[in-house]
Amino acid sequence: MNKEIISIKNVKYSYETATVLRDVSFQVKKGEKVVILGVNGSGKSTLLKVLNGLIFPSEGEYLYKGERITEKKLKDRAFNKKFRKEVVLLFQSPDSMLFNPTVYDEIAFGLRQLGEDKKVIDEKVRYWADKMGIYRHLDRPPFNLSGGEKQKVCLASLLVLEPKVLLLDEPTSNLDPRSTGWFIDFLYELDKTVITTTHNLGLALEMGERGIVLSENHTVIYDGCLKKFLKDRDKLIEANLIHIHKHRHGKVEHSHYHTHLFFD
Amino acid sequence: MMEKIKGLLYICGIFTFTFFHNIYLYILLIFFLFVLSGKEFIPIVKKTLFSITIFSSVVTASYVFINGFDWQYITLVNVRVFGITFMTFLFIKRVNLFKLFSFSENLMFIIVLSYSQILTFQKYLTDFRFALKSRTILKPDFSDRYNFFKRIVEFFMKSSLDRSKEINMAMKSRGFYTDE
Repeated sequence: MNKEIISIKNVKYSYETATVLRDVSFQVKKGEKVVILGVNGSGKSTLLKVLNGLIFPSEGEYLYKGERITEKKLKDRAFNKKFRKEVVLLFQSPDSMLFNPTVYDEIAFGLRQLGEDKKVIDEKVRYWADKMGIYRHLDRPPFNLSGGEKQKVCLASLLVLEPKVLLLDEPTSNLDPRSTGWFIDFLYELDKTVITTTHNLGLALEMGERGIVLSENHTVIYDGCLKKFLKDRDKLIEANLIHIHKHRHGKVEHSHYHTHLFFD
Repeated sequence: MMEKIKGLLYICGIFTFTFFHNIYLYILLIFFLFVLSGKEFIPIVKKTLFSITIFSSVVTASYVFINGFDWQYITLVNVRVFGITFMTFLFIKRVNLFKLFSFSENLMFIIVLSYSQILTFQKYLTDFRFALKSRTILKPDFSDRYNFFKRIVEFFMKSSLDRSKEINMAMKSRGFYTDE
C-alpha cells in the first residue's frame, strides 16, 4: 500500500500559446485514490495526459515505478507494452475511445493486442461485460449506446487489461444520476490506484480521500486531506471553486460564498 | 484598418499566384513571404508541406499520366500551390479574421460559428488520436486502423449534421432569420 508508484517533479507543460501546468509536483502511492480538483482550464486533463505518457513535460520529470517516462522511453516496445497495459486513461468523452464494430470487439481490443488466447479473451470479455451490466449489448455497435453505457464499455475495455493505475478524466460528466451512483459504488470497490479529475465538489469526496487542487494559475495550491480542503474557505476561493450568490429567507436577502456541500 | 489592408494584400497575392504564370515571380514572392513569416517560418513550411503533399502528388501523377512529363508546367503548378498555401497559413496566423470581417454582422456570425466548430472538432480529433495511442499496446493492424478511420469519418459526419441542426435552431431562436 505504501510503495510510491507515480512521482511528478516540477512539471511544466505549455501548448503553443499558453502554459497549462506550472511547477506541478506530487507523489502517488500504490492503491491510493486521488482526486484532482480545479476549474475548467486549470490543467487537469493535461495532467492526466502527461501521466498516461501521451504528452511529455517541457520541464521537470515524470517517474512511473521509478522509471522516467519520456518519448524515447515509450519507443522501447517492451516498456511501452508494459506501461500501456498498466496505466490506462478513461477519456472525458467516451466517444473518442470507441471505434470497434461491436461492444465485444471493443472490450477485446487490448487483449487481442497482447496476443492472448481466444478462449481467455472470450472469458475475460464476458466476465467484464457481465460485471458492467452491458452483457446484452455485446453484439451491438458501441456508438449507439447511451452515455452511461458507452462509459461502461470504455471502462470494461480498460479494466479487462487488469491495469495497475486507472486515470479518470471527469468520469461523471456524461452520466445521469443513476449511472453516477453506480459509478461511485464501483469506484469505491475498485482495488487499484485511481486518479480522478473533477470540478464537482459534491462528488469529489466520494471519489477519494486525498485531493490535489490546481489553481487557475495552473499550480498546485493544495495537496492533502480532501475533507479538510472542502472546509477551507480561503483555499476554495483561491481555487475559484466556490462563488458568491444571493439567498432569500422570506423577505430578507443576502449574499455570501456558497459550496452546496453537506458533511456528516 | 490594418487587418483590412492585410486582407487586401492577401487578395492581391492570390491574384498574382493565379493570373501570372512566371515561376521567377512566384519564387520572388515566396521568398518575400518567408521573410515575413520570421520565427514561424519552419512551423508554417511544415504545415504547408503536410497539407499539399497528397494533393500535389495526385495532381502531378494525373497530369504526367495524361499529358506526359512537362517539368516546367509541373514545377509551376506545384510552386503555385505551395505559395498559395503558405500565404494562406501565414495570413491566418497574422490576421484577426474577426476584425477583418467586422464590417458585416452576418459574415461575423459565420466566422464565429465556423471558428467554434473548428475548435470543437480539433479537440475531438486530438482526443481520438490520443485515445488510440493510449489503448494501443502494439502497432494497430490494418483492420484496426480501418475501423478507427471509419469511426472518425462517421463521427464527424454525424456531429456536423447534429451541430448544424442545433446551430440552425439557435440562430432561428435568436431571430437571425424567419421561415417566411
